[in-house]
Amino acid sequence: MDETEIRLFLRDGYPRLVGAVALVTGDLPTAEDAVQEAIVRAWERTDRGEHIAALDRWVAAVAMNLSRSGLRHLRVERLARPRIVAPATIDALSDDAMDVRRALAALPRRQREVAVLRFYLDLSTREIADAMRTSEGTVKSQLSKARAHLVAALTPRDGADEEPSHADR
Amino acid sequence: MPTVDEEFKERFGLAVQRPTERNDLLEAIERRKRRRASTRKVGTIAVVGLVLVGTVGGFLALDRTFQRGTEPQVSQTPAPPAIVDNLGLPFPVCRVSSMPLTTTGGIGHAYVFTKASTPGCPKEGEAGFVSVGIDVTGDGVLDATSGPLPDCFIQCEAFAAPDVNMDGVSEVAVSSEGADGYGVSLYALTTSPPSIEPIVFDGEPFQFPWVDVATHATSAGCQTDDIFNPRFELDWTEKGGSLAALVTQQTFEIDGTVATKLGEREYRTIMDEAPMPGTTLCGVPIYGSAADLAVRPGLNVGLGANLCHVSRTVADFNGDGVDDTVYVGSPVRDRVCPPQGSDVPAIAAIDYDGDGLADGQQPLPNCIYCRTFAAIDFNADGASELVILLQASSVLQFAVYESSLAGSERSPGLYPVFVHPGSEQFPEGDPLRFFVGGDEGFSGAIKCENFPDHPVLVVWASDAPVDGGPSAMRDVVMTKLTMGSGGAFAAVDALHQQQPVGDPPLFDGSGEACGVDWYP
Repeated sequence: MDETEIRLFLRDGYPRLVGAVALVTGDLPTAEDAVQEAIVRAWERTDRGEHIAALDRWVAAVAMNLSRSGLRHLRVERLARPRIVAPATIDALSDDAMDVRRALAALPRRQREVAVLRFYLDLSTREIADAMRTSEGTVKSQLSKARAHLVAALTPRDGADEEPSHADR
Repeated sequence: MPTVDEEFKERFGLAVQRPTERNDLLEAIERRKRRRASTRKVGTIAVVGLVLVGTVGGFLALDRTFQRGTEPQVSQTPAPPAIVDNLGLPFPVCRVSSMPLTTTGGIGHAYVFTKASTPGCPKEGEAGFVSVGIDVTGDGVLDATSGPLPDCFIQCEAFAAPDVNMDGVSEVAVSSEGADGYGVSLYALTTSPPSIEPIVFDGEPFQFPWVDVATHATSAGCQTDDIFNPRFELDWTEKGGSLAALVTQQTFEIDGTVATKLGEREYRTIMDEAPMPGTTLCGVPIYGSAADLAVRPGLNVGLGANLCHVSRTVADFNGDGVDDTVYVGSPVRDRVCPPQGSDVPAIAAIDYDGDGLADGQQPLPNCIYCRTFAAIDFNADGASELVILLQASSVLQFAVYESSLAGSERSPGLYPVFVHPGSEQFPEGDPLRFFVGGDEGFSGAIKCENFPDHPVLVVWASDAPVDGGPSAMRDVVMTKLTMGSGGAFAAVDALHQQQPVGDPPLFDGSGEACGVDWYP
């Protein structure tokens, strides 16, 4: 992985992965820190000659793991506190965005991760299982529970079909 | 028509937070990469410079250190941890505690340490950077660390290194001492490459208490389920006040760095069989100051020293409508219980919130046979006062204490009740103390009038000289006392007279007074 690849990844993959981890943790500084740390670790691996087949999925999985650490969360929060933006500059969130974040926050951690990897990063259940080092059956079970909770918590918009579009891939 | 999954995808996209805009992101990541590399390099150099150079064995270890690369070399023979001043870190460390670890290739060590600075080790109570690290090769050099540890207000120590998930590699338990005992955090470690990470439960560090206080005890242990899967159990034992205990047991699966709760159950048992903190955790010894928690004498009510010869009384002492508990006992001295009646001052401690820990305390001077005796609402304000038995022989001596009321400006705790205005029998400004019983020449008794609505405490005492020949007359004093809301008894009537010894007492002091039998 050379500098050009890193730059491309930072431009194309980084915001999306930070957004995904932030959806899981509910905390942007923690997500940024975790994704940056994961990128560094990927870079180190490639420096040692290891091959990473799907960089975005690898970084997503490692960043999710890193963000689970409560200690990391506390450290990042403390470091980030001085640069927390003033309220006026915070993006105005729609009610719907708040509802989505609240609904996700109410999920158990593993269900939250599965939901974000599936619905936001659009990974297949097989890819999620690989990333989380668990079985595909477990992912489907967690995903089913997460979906049921989200359906109950988030009022479907008019016209939305209540059934999944297809069997979980 | 969008499916629900497609709708989630769209709504997640709208809810997502965007990273902070910055132009130096690549530079920041490069700096982070250099820092990681530098930390490892400095760690190795520090090993060379401060630990190994100058010893013959050091050159051999030096060679091994440089040749091992990123793969740990596990020593085949367990070696005690080297006493070093930095454990291979680029800064000095202090308050080091350690314990042996079981790893896939042999035995290493876990260390809990505080980062020292130029002035030295942070003083006790000062916030310091406390971390846990592992040495998986047994060379006294840390191969991975995790920190800072949370809540190290008093001290954090190596606690135990059990193999909780039975995978052949220890987990690392670190204790953080608190007023009521210890909080224990679990860490997962890997040996290749070496790493130590907090085990988390629902996204938070997995911690459990290790305490044994007046009202409850908490402990942990390892079990297997019906098909021999390893399980970690946390037990909360409610002490029922008698032999009975109510145990709440939570069962967890520990998989890597993730703890998953599998279930919870409640059961009743006798105290002798209830789970309590012991000297081991999952079959391995407990280290540090927590090691002797199970065998410390006395009762922990959060005073710093356990109480011995403890008596307790439960009543609403602060008038908030909820029962409080007063514990009276003598603190442990030199790690043993002092004999009753020794010169160690007794202490009364009050627990308002039922957590088994004192919220206020009061020394009890001249308390020889010190016990809580009764809770009586002397001033009918809805909050009981505490009667303490100070001495016991043929004559019993009592004192009265009151609690600050809930919501008052007075600090929470117990206070002696004084006499104001006083009488000949009870001098003005003295703490109220009275006697019940009799010996040669002396007798005392009490009774209550208008109890419980408007209690009047009537204290009677008589004394006849016993020196020389038999006395024909005795000195009789009696005082009627009422307690106001200001924390004092007022003498509202008093009598002092001489009475022939053969005459009956002024009143019958037998039986109950203020709802209490004073001759138990």
